[in-house]
Amino acid sequence: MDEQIVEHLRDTLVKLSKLEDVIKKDKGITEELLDIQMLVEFIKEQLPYEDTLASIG
Amino acid sequence: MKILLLQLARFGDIFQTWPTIHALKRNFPDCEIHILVRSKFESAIALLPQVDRIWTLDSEKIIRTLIDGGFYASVESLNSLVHQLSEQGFDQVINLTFSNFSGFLTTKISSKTKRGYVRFRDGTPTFADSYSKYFYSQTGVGESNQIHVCDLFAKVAGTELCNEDWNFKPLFQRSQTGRYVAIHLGASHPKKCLPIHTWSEVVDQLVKKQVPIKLIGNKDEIRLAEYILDRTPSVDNLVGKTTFKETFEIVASASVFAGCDSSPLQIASLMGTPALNLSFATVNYWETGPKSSGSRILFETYPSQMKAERVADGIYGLYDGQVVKDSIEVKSPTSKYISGRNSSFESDLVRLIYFSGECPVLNEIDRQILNILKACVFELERGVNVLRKGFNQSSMDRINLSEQKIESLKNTRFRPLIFWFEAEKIMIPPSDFMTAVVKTQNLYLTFKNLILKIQKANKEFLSGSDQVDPTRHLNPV
Repeated sequence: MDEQIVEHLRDTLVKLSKLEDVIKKDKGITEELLDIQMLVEFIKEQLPYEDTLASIG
Repeated sequence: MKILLLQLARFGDIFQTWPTIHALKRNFPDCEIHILVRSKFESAIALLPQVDRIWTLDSEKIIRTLIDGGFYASVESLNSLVHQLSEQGFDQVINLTFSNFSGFLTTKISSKTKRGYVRFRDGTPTFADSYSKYFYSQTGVGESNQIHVCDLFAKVAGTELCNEDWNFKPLFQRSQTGRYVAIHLGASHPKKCLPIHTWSEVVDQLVKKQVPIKLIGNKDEIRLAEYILDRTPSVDNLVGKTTFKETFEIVASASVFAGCDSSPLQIASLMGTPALNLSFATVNYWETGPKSSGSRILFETYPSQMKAERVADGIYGLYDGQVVKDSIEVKSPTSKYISGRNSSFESDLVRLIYFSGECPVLNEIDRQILNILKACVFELERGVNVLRKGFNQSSMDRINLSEQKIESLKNTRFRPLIFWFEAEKIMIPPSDFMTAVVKTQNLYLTFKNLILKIQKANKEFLSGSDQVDPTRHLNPV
């Protein structure tokens, strides 16, 4: 995968993590939170193996 | 019955899913089988007639949507696929992917029943069947799993494979044009590959014995083939020149296939072509090795240790119907590999926990660790007994401390037992405080009984009792 895209995805993960915290704090467990968590896992699986090593069971 | 399989991994895993699909059709001839794969790997399933409909997940499109349109646009794109799949009215969704993302996807797709990795309603991961739980806790390089991935896929899908489920050869075998050996030089990772100079020596030795060779592989492996051709021009080089279907046909008609842990090895298993598999410590051959009858595995810890003469003799032995020395034999697709490497304290422990196997013999260090585990589990029991009367912070702290102590023993030979415990914890669903306490208490009790059973079996073993049956009362997965 193009290095620029990889960097973009890494940045996105950081932003999504912050968004997750905000949603959890303000609204609790919602459909929106689960969607964000699903997207986070999808992005992690697109990243190089070293990034995902800890996240894939 | 309408079934959806999720197989979002790569070529090798998709090929290893074929027998499960065949077994599902054998068990339920009228069932309609759909499969979801990543667009990039669609060609690996398109050749299988038992699949009624292929769905694809276009990862690149979702990434482009994410970059151009933001988070919510890409979530919408994923949910659109979920919606389309949910509208199909599946009776069962079987997730064979074992990834966190696939667990979310499986949970969101509507279906009467589910199998594989899923999520609780609060998003925490869990398993819809006991074999997925087993996969989570015991599978992977360095772990002590005892089940081949193909058999594990079938078990997650709720079925068992028989030899008939491996008979795909009639779909691809073409008229014979003489005997030959198909060789795949590459693998998905350099640590899984035989060095190219060793392959070159192997090919040279085989050509001197008049063995016809066809090299197969993808476009990324053209340079490997050129290295061989520079030294041995008489081999038939098909690397980067064949479609998937043609590769299947070449492997199906070969007398022998030779290669490392890679998707062409899985193709050889599906075609029933005897394979000489070169395996190294970076993979577990009993998890992903060949399945065709008469196959052989040559094992070395490092690729550099594998001698060309041994490989050439092995290939020639299979080609000429001779004995292959120092190799592990595959008797049939349903038989188990028997060798020294997958027999250890840890693998015996896995057999004991999940398959009613015999209790491994403990050494002095093991006995000390088992005593620590026993002390921890007694502490856990004490803590949870207090919690039955209501929330108590100091009991919670004691429980956390004991669980941390147990976790810290992951690097000991009791690793499979600790991973079993962790997977069982994941199975406890989000609930009110008292329900969670009761379920946790039951888990601690099971854990304690397991520890006591190991201890008792070893005491009996040491005292020389002939009444020892350490496996009694233990349930398989």
